[in-house]
Amino acid sequence: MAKEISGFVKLQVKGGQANPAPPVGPALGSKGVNIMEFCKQFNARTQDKPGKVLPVLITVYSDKSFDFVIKTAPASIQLLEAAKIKKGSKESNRNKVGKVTWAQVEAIAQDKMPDLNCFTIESAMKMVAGTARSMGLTIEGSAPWEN
Amino acid sequence: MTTYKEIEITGLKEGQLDLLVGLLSEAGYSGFEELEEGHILKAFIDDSDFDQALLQDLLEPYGTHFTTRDLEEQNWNALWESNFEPVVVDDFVAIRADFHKQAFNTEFEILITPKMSFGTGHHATTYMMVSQMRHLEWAGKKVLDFGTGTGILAILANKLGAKEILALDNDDWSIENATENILSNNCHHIKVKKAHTAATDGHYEIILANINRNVIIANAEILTQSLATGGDLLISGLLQQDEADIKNLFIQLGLTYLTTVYKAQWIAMHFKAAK
Repeated sequence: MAKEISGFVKLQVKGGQANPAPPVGPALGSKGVNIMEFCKQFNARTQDKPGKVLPVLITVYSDKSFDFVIKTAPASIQLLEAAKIKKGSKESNRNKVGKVTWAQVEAIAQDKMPDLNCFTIESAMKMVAGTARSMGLTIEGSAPWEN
Repeated sequence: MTTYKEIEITGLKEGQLDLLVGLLSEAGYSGFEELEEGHILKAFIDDSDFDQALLQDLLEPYGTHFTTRDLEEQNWNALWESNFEPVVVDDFVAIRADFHKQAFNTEFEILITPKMSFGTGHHATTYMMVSQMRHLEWAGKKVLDFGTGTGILAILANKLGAKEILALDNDDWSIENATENILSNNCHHIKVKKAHTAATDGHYEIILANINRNVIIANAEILTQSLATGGDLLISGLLQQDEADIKNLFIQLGLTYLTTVYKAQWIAMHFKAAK
């Protein structure tokens, strides 16, 4: 018989570096989950992406056990890495702080496809491009579907 | 005691959550919680790193609202710790809390009050380390426990007859908690020390390290050099997929590979230094 679900917790924490500090401790501890066990498992499963912020969806069961699914890093973080800049622009439309290429947008869209509500790579690329623009990043050249 | 700042950002529109996580993480925020289907974002940062003006600047273009509050560090694992099940490793060791009153027919009993530290025997890696420790000779040995957590493995080493045990951890809670557990188990041969690497000035006949792949790889050379002639190295915190890399690494460093044991997706490995 399937275990009864008592709730879901959505966190974003750094790969390989989860510890009982917030948000992990308060969010999971209040549900009676053994947070040390979560940290050990999460850190082992994300050891190839140390320090990278990763979304994780945790299912907590009524017996205090848990499962979790690790999603791909947010597009915004991947875009900042691609543009090799440390901070997004405050005035995103007026002050362009960096550039990415359509090839980089496509690579990020490919990576994010499983987590996005998109059926085609083109629509995923449009979503990633929208995030890039609102962060103040210019996308060099024209979109592949405009060529 | 660390204080954290919790920032609750409300009024998020479609797509803004992802964007803000990126911007805030670049600004030093270390973790996030999503609530209300992504319409509320909580961001967390050490109070000492918090900059209200920077946060206002950062959020201003997005039309969101935010509130802040202080979160004092506390034992967030207290609820689970208040009623966990004891762990029994064959007829060898029972690991229990002071609220477990039943009798265990095991050779040893270890009393653990974890207080947000790792090592209660519930995790496969601790269980395997405990069960592998049964196969070694401990009487009169000098032991290093790297990443001691609750102190569980050091305590078992003491009970098995080791004469001098150095228990290291990089976490203040673990240092305090290991010290308490050592006292409540009447162990008198363990010294606890805060450390960020396995580097010490001693050589050990047995080294225990239940941490994770990255820390073990980063300390592999030190661990190998710290082994006495013919010494044993027991390691865990590793996944099955790490086995080949870790095996090759320690063989290259000059150790002899003896065994791997498996439980769920985890492994524990045993290496030996040349005589």
